[in-house]
Amino acid sequence: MRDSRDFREGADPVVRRAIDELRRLPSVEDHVVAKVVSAAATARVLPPADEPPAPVRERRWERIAIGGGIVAAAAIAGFLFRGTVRSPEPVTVAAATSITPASLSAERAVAPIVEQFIFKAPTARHVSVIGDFNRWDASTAPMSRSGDGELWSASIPIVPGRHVYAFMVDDSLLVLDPRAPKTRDPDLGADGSVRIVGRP
Amino acid sequence: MRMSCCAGLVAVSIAMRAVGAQDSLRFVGGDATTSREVQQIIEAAAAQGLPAGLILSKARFAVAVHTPGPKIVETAKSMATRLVVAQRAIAPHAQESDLAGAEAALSYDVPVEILRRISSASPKEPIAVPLGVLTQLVADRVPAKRAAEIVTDLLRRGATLTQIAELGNNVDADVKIGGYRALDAANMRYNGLGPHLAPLSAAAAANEPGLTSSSGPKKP
Repeated sequence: MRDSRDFREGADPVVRRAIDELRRLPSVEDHVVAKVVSAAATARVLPPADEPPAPVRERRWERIAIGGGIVAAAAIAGFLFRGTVRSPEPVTVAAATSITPASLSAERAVAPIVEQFIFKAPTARHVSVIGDFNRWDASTAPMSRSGDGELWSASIPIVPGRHVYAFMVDDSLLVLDPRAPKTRDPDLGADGSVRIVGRP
Repeated sequence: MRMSCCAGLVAVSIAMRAVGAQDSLRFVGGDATTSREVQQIIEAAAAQGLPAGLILSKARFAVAVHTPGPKIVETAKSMATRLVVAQRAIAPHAQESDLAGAEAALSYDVPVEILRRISSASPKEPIAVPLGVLTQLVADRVPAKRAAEIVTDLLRRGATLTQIAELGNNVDADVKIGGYRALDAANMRYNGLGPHLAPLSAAAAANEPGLTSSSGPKKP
């Protein structure tokens, strides 16, 4: 991969700043970049040689529209990924390294595993599962009621490790999982249900 | 045109990331003073490169179980301190889940030295699961030293994360459903895994004399 310092030489200050900012963004896998580049190349349509060039004014609007589209796409992408990218933490830009079995297994070991939670609450109006895996945010994992209306269920991707959780019933009542061991939080003295998630 | 597009793209991306980061780490709960103080701790932790979301998570748990404001602040401070210790103890492991596991172990008074041993027993693999099992064994009242021996031995003998997690969950079930003593259950489950694992190498055994025990600690 060419070093971005090559592009900096003699470049406009705005471009230099843009290069610097882009270098801080998370790394993107090479094959993804290749796919995007090849898709862009395929989609690029050149005007036939005998077709007169479009008037300057029209082209300018075309460029503004394209630029606007890119900015809008970036805004949407930024919004979609806002929960997954935390800017205060340092983002390391990975060099093009070979993928070793060890790094593959390490990657696999931190990949989330879908875990199912089941809870019996026949009279509840709504139930959520909350825990350290969703930062104790009841809005992120609402449970669905089963056909007979007695059981509630949710399947949530969770990274391997030890997790403390509970069920939030009707937005007010915190209930432990009767099927799981409970653990006392040493700081708060409060109980939570605990589940150790390994690899399937 | 390309320049302005590029600059616009970068500006929007940076702005959205900043907004996202602020949003995802915002703590609202308890009274205004508690919220403000906890938020300051979260931001300070984030500025140090710590996984501040873990502090946010604990603070929200505290609110969910109706913890008084000053206790929430105190807990957030303790957690930030433990995260710093955990980060140093398990380096180069730096995944959030690894740090969460190490921090939780410290909260149960597991000595830092034990975290270092587990980290060095598995230098290239994530250690969230071994640390989680260690923490749960200690939470179930298995002495930290014996819990560490079991987990480190499993790692050195090539136990899979599934096997290690299973041991933790089985001991939990033995204690909760069977009513067994956690230490006995842990030793039994550990011995049960033994035949399925590689023997501990002589060199590793010599370095870690406590790990050669296959039948648990001797009772007086």
